[in-house]
Amino acid sequence: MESGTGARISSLVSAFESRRPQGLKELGKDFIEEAVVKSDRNMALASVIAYALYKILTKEHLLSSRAWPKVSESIRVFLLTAKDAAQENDENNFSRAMQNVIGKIEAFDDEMSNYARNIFEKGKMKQASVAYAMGLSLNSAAGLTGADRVELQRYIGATRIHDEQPVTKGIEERMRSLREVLGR
Amino acid sequence: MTYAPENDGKKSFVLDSSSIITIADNCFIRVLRHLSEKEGIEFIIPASVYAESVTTPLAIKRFEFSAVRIRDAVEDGYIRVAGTTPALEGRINEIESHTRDLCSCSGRRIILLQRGEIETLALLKELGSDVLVIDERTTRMLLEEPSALGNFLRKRHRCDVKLDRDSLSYFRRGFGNIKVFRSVELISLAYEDGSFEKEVHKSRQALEAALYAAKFAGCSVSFEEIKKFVSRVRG
Repeated sequence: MESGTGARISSLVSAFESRRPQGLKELGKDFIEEAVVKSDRNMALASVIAYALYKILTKEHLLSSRAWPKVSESIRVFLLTAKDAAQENDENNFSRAMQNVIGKIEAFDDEMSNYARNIFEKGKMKQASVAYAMGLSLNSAAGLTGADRVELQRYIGATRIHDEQPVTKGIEERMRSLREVLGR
Repeated sequence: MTYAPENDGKKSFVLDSSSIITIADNCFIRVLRHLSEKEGIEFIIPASVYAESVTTPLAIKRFEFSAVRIRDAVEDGYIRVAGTTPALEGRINEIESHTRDLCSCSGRRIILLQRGEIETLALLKELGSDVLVIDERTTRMLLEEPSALGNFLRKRHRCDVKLDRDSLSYFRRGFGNIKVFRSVELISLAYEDGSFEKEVHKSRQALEAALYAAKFAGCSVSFEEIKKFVSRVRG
């Protein structure tokens, strides 16, 4: 397990406890950037969780639900367990605690939401698209975050990521080359 | 389902999953049949791409229809699936090892490509093909403009990005002659040679719509490129 994981989870707990959605969103971005550089799936998972919690904290109907206080407390406790496990370099307990956090988020979202795609899956897409924007290939970005590869491609198609790079070889130039290849 | 690649004098085009998914998503899979017949192209995909674009999504309702289209194309024979052979595995391992060393950020390795993309590159070499159809950006940049890929990564990362010279040289030597196209170029070719008309009425608007549909399905093409290209097409 990468050193520093415990400290990152600790900052996640802190932002969650103090109900700072923007703080969680920023942590999610920092975590995925770190995950890309270190090829660290644990950090990528923490990033997706941070993003999912950010989304929950921005939805008033979720926060005001009767189930939320209990769910929120469970998530907090599991995150603290994950932090302790990371600090003790205990990979098994860390993974178990993180999976418990995901289970809580998914069950709560499933109960409260009308959407087919849940908040956690959306979080995977969002963070995988950041990894792709940072230069990983589609398969690498999907592999790091656990996002579905096919869905990620479609998600990225709806962003402006492919418009942010200068065009060095446009369609016209490639068409010339294609005609040559085919002897047309 | 795997077929050994055949080559009855046709030009081999290897497709990766990103391009085949864009084409199938937009109901253009049969355009490949027309292109294959008219232009003498043999479209080939690696077994892992078949698994990724057919076997896995067949079990997911949201993606099932595209998967069925690709499966039909394979069954009809205008897309061939190359089986995984020990020689191909050897190539995959070799490319994988160079990919692992390719890029680092303040001394830590960044794994830019994964098995799916690597298998496509290995198949290209194994078949001796020099044409790759890929909508994915990073692999395309690595093959066509590795220095631009380095600059791109340096802009995106806060650390000191380095590309390993030996690995870069390996990719230049092995793949420098590869011609890379995207689904948008296949669609444009179909527009030019009449294959497009067999699926949609030919018009500049139809071409423009098809190119944008490919972009929104994830093809790495910019608005600017499409706009510029379409403005020069006679409609």
